[in-house]
Amino acid sequence: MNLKRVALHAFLVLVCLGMLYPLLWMLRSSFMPEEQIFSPGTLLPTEIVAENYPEGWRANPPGFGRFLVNSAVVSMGAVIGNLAACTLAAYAFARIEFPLKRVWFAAMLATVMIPVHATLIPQYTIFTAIGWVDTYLPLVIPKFLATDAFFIFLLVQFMRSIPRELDEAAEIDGCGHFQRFSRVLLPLMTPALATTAVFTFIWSYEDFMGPLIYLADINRYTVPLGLRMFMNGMGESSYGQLFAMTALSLAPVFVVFMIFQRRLIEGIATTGLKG
Amino acid sequence: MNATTHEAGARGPGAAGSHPPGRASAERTRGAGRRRWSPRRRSATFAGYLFLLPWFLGLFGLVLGPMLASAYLSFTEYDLFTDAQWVGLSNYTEIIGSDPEFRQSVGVTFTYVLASVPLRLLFALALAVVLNRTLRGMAFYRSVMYLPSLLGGSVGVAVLWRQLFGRDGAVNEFLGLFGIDGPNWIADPDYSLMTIIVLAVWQFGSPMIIFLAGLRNIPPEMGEAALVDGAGPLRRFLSITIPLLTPIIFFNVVMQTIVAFQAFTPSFIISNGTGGPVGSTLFYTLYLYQKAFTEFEMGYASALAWILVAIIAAVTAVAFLSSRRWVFYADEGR
Amino acid sequence: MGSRGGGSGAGAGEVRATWWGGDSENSALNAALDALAQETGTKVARETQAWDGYWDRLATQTAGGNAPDLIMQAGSQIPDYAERGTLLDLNTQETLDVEAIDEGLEQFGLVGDQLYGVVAASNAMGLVARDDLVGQAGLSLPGDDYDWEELAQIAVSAHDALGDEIWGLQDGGGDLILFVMKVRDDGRQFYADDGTLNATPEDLTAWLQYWQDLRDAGGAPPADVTAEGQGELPNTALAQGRAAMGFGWTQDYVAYARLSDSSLSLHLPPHVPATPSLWMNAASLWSVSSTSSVPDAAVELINQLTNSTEAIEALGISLGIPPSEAAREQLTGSLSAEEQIAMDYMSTVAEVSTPLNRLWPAGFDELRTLLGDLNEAVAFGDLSIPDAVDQFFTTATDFT
Repeated sequence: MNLKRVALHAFLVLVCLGMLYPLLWMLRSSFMPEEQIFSPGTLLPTEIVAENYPEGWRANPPGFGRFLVNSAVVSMGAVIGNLAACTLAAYAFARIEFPLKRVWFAAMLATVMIPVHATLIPQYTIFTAIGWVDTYLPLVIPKFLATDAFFIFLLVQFMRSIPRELDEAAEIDGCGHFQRFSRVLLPLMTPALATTAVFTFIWSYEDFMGPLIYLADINRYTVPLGLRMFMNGMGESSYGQLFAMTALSLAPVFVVFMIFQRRLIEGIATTGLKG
Repeated sequence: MNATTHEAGARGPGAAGSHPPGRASAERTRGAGRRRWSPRRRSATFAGYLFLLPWFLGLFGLVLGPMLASAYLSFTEYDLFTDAQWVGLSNYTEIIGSDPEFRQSVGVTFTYVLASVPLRLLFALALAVVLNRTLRGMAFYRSVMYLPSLLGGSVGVAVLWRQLFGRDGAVNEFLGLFGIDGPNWIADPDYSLMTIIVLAVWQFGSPMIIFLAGLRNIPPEMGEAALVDGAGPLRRFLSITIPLLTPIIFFNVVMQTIVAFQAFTPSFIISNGTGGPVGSTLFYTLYLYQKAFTEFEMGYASALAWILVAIIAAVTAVAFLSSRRWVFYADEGR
Repeated sequence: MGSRGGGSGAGAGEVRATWWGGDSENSALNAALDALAQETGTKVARETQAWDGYWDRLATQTAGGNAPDLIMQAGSQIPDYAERGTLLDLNTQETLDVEAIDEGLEQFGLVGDQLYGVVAASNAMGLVARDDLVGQAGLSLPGDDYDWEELAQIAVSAHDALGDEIWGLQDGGGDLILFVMKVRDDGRQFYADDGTLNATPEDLTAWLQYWQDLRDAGGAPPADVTAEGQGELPNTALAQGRAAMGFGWTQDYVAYARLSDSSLSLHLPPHVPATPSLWMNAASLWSVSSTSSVPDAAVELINQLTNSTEAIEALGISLGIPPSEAAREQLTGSLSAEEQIAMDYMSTVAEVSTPLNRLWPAGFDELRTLLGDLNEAVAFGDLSIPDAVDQFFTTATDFT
């Protein structure tokens, strides 16, 4: 038994190392002076230089701290929006019988099939017309309107793997749809909700296209826009600072992930059926 | 192609949504008193549409308009800055009839989808199963496995990948230990697509998390029952875990396929937007992007977009049709 | 549609300006605009963006009827924007005052007799050499009178002297700018005045063959080494110390110098004094949107950015080499060693170059990408030179 555990640890450590190699390379580069990063044959820094961090942090005023805060605001708004709207839509698709349901479900799936670049300009025109350009609204409000079909579909699949007996029992007790949704189904779905929250957070956090198109004022920029500014197609790029800030930008999402990952695995196993 | 889409959707939730006869009749008997269908069904309809209200607002307010606009533009010549000119089907006929880059990009994209989706899902499932066990430090392992996915399409990835797969990159140095003289992976047209597939597999975190959540959603008494039956771990996995996980497997297969067909960022950042070397990483959406935003042929690009929608819809339809045979939903009370 | 012209977040009378760049460009332009705001009271809403994504956003904004007033443009993009009526003809603006700009650059934004951009900063093509490798090979680079054949000989002997894994000259066969220079070297303009191609299939055949021969002889690296450095300066053969020489813009020279542990020098490309092939190039231009509601204020900003000593001081050479003699004189003495070398080089170029006969026509950028693809395909052995030439001219004639 013990041997098995050791073997499992060894296996996992090995996989982790393979997974982490590129990230470790990035971390190592963030502590090196620019001209050494790419010079062939220097894998480990001869001297550790930390200045990429303060320099990268201060570069592009208002600076990286502000971008982090902006990203956090956008991402949290998106999380709340997706959790609220996608769960509602998913419940309708998973648990209620109503006319044209199949048509709407198909329409929902169809909305994820069209490549973003084809709808970018018409969408921009809409947001310009309602005066939302250069605000966070185009990045957040659509989430409250459940435009992320990915998550609706995900939540439908999870709801459908929950036996119907559970909410039928509540129905007999006289609970309406909303109560069945909020009191019976949602508590059973912690892993799916956590998944939705984590993914929404991370995907909004790393989204480049939306902020690129809709944010004009640098004071509102998010992290990906800030990172691109270290890469200059027409002149000098600051790779050391880029790596330093990329590493730094992973920290908050990593923390969010660490916190939520417990919820992710807290399934029915601990919250539901048994109790 | 809309017909296909609808059919796909119709079959899917249809198979899913319709109640097995037993249950349906049970429901009816319950409501027998006021059965003349109205109040009960009307309230269900009302509830259904109420729950979908935000989604409807989004669909009609934000999503449908741009989709219809792009559908219209696909029949026009539109250079972004001057008015669109109606050209009928000519964009479509040109794409399908005589566009070598279209064919190239379809080839690249299908190769990518066929290679990356199964590999990514296998990795994701295998590691989800391993990480689902209780072991000290599991939280840490899970987080580390997810780290590459956090990096997403960040600009740094391009540079990292060159360091890994370049001529003197880490991979070749490793191979050199065994006396193997590796190729210039990232810059050789025979291997460059492979490096992007490896990138996709490396970032298997998202489907893995969804599998993990799915595994956790399986009621433990199911496994316990099998334990009593004396089934071994592999048997239990194959005959209990996997079937109960099929809704989630199905989700991952469908969504990962859709996402893979639309893959843009990896090739965009790694080939610096060119799709090179020699078109070997010219993904479909990258080609569409080049047409739309560097050549200003938005009409043509929109037609490309709708051809892709048709392809994806067809593949999704097949998935939904097949799902009747292998996906099991707990709410259908097997 | 209230935001049309007036724009997102910009108050009345405020000018919305957009440019690409990183930290150095941003802080320089911010400082310059702040200084000007003090002087003239013009407020500027700033929409800076990295080069990556800049064009996507500008295209979307323009298509959505929400283009900024003052727009940083590139010589390769202006024709596409100008031809579709999105830019203001600055010749109709009587207040425009940019006579300080070098003669060779003043007309750079001209399409026909309409002026769509004023050069914000200039650059020029040069030959960058790694002093360490050139020294090891025991070579010396020719001065200001040598041709492409001589360059090839030097490149090959560098490879012979430096060993199998080091090559003489980075592959430049896919660089349309260099091909333009080669055609000008032969005494012709690349484009006729009406925008059709002057270059012939024979020119292109000889050009692609030149680089194929060079690759075969070891003067230029094989296809995969070149492809590895595509689009990323640090991974190019020159930055990696795998090539002794390579072509680059003046700003690339400064970037290479920062990335490399060897000292680098900047030389004239092959140059025939009778038919100078070089031209002073626009690194970037200032344009005004045709839908701007404050064109006068935007034009005034262009004047100020060109002429004001405060603006010149604030900008330095962060955007490129200043396009006026006065500005360059003002800055001398305040630059780093590499920057000074780049600026001195520009002064040399100013003497030995002749302006382009016309701005690039629409489709130039696409042709530029195409040549890169074709040379790459030839280098990988995927395409024969005659087929490549065919493809190039088929596409080129599509535009005209």
